[in-house]
Amino acid sequence: MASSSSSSLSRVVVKSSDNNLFVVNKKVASQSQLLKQCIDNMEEKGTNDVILIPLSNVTSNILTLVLEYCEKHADFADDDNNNQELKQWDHEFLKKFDYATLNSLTMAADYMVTKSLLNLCCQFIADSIKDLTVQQIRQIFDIKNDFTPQEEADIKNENAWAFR
Amino acid sequence: MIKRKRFRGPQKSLPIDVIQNEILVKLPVRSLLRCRCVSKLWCSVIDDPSFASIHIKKFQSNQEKTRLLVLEPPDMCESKQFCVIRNGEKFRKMSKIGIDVTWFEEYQAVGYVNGLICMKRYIKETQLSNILLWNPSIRKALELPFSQFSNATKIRHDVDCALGYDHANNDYKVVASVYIGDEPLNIPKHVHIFTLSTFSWKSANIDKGPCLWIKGGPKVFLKGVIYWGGINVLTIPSPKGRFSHFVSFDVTNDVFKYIDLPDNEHVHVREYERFPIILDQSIALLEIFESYSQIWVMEDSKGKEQLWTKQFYINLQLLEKCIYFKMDGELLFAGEKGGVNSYNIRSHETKVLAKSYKLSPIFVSVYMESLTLLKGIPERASSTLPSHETIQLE
Repeated sequence: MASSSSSSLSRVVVKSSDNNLFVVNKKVASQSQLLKQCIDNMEEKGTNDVILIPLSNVTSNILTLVLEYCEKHADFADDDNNNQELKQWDHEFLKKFDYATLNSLTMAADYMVTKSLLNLCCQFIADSIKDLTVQQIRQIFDIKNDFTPQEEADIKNENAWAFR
Repeated sequence: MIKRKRFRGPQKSLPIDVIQNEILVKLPVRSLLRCRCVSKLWCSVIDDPSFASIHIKKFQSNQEKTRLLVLEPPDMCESKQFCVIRNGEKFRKMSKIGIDVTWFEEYQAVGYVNGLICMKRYIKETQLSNILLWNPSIRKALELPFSQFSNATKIRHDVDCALGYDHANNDYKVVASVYIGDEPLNIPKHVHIFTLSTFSWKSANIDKGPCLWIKGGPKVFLKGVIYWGGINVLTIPSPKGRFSHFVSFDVTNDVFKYIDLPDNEHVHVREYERFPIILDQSIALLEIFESYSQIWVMEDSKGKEQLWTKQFYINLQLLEKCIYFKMDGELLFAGEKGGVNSYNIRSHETKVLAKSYKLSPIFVSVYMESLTLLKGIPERASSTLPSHETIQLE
């Protein structure tokens, strides 16, 4: 990271909701549009201090994962999402999580505006729920069934073939 | 200090906008039809016609994997006609839908847009025609109302039609020309436009001057405009296959235009075929002669005179063998002794897709899954096809 000419910041400190601090390289942090926006704003103001960005919605467990993803992806160009090595890494990265972690990771990606991670998590979730039953899907998304049994049966009957 | 995108506070479950725009749009329609049962919120999200239009664009299997929709003739031993989804690389069967042949066999597919097949049939008993929109991916069909074309006079009423999508209004339109009696010149008596959202027909405003309409022939839809072959009946008396023009219909603005085709240097050739096709994102003309074929591509000249350039030469005998032209430049054609082959117009490479395929497909197109027709049309009008039997092989 030798000559980042005019920009003065090389690192930022990100604080998780459970008050853990993470020192993050600027290039890595820029994978998140939220963090990038904060850095850009501070640079405009001409601050030379290390800035602290609190993320009140993201726990340190999840933040660690988001930053692991950002670190890997910072090594590749923006248009490199089709790179085979990266694709393989993404898949290995996601497949070890349970749904609760995936959910939290997805929310963090949405909150931190990390589009490629959001898309990746959601594709992974979509691929894994596409053959599940309605009840299993409700459990995964923690959704309460607000249909009466009759209403649910009627909706099912509209497209009964899709349930076979 | 920090301006957050939005404040949500700590929460356990995913917000519905993420579920809708990032997860549900990535699901195949069969899963979506099940997901309608999850909760009232999910059901209303999936039923919203605007969701259907986002899903068409974002569902990846619509773009990446090439699957083909193939309508196949009735089975000899069963009284069923089949709509088969086949793998684009090997023509292998992935899933199929059986349809009662007594109900289906007279229909002829004339177009396929956003997962919706437009079909027409002529009913001998009543001497009337009718039009059907069918979305095989959700097993829903819709017969268009036909009071317009009532037959008090007991004269043959035949129609030809084409389907298009109005991007501006997320709506579908069918343009239909009606031919009354045994009109020798193929001049339609009326031209009508059907709008799906209002579920009604209106008369089209057409310039009857140079009468360029014709029955039959393929129609293509590209960037909000439908194109089909037309003929100037005043100058060319024998119309079969000899289009002199394309007629175009702008679906959003209801505007018809006539497009001159490149000069026909082969008027003397006895047998040839001409089709409008889509190549990449342009309108093109496929000309098939006895021993070779060629493709002309139209430059988009914004309303001025159309410029045609001859861009591809195909050294194959394709007359009456062409099955389907994929817009990436791959042409499917029937083999000498059955089977399905493919030819790439750029690499000139020929491949055998299916050696033992014995049927002659009635209609082939790149398959698109969509929720079109699920909702947003009058409840009374929608129907599931009779005897829709699903056989899943995937």
